[in-house]
Amino acid sequence: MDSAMAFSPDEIERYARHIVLHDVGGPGQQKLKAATVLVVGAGGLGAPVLLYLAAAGVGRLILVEDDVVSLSNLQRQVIHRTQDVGRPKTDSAGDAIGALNPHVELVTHAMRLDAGNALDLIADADVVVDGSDNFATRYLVSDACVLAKKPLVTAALGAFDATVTTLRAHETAPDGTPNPTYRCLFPEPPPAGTVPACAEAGVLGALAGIAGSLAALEAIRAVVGFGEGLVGRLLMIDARAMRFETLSYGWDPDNPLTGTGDRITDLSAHVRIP
Amino acid sequence: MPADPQSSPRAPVRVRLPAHLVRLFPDGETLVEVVAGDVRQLMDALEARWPGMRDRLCDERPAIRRHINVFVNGRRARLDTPLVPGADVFILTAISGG
Repeated sequence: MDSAMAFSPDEIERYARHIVLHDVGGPGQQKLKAATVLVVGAGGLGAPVLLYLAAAGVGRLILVEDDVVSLSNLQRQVIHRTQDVGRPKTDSAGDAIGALNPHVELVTHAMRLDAGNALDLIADADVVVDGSDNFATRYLVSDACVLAKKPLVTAALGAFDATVTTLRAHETAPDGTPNPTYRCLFPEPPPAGTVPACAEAGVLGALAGIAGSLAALEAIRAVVGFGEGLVGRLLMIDARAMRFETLSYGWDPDNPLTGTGDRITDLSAHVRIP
Repeated sequence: MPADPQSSPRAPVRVRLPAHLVRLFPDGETLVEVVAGDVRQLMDALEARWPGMRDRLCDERPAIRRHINVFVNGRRARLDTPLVPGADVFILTAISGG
């Protein structure tokens, strides 16, 4: 074992409930310590993702977030505190993560993930978690993860609804079929104005906690490797009816990333004209 | 005893609709049961129940709108995709909140 990865007595006690788990154990906890996870956004989804990944002992977290904390965030973005209003979310999240688990290294980028920096930011990550709040970033992150051959856990919120899925589009299923991309599920974003954003439609705060925790769980699964995750399955949560359903979806040969036709080979389509 | 959905030609299909869509219609529901032999008939049935819904889901070609995703038993569907009794139909759009 690499001595740099050896656990201190404090870490062994801290992670005891993971280490006794048959499917995690010491080796799984070592994988978490050695892992780097990139989290896009420290909002409603990013907050629980960051807290649970830090608590789980992911060795290095990279956070990309360009926003500052506002009072209306605090109904769901549980990583921030009232006294953080007005501070950059990267600073606020950094304080919370440092207080929760000093064994976690946090790298912050107080910027928006864009076509120019996405591949560089993703390059260092073993797993990417998308908790962003807009379609442009979601399609950019998912395209970039395919190009960079990185696993992506993507969760999204809308009022009383949430979705979570895991993408490993650079790998194949046991039968040799390529795993699906995000564009196999959602080829195109809805036209502007047809799906209201959280600011207009609202979002149930505790639902962000459910979906974000599930996204963190999927990221931990991607690092440790246990059970059956959400590759090829979209988990849909209807908090009004308290109904959880999964839609199985497969590789679409018409998808523009790994399909049989013309393919997207760079992120130039995502460059925004200032 | 309830009929076996696989053996009854009149057994409905189960259809899930996007929440942000059904909120636009009086008494809209996200989970409905519809008797339909294909996706086109399903759209007709939704239109009969909630006038105007078909235009939200289909364009003038006619075809399913590009941002609307219809999956039947886990496979992407078109208007001519047949529906067997008891089929699971998901009609969904991406959501983006974070």
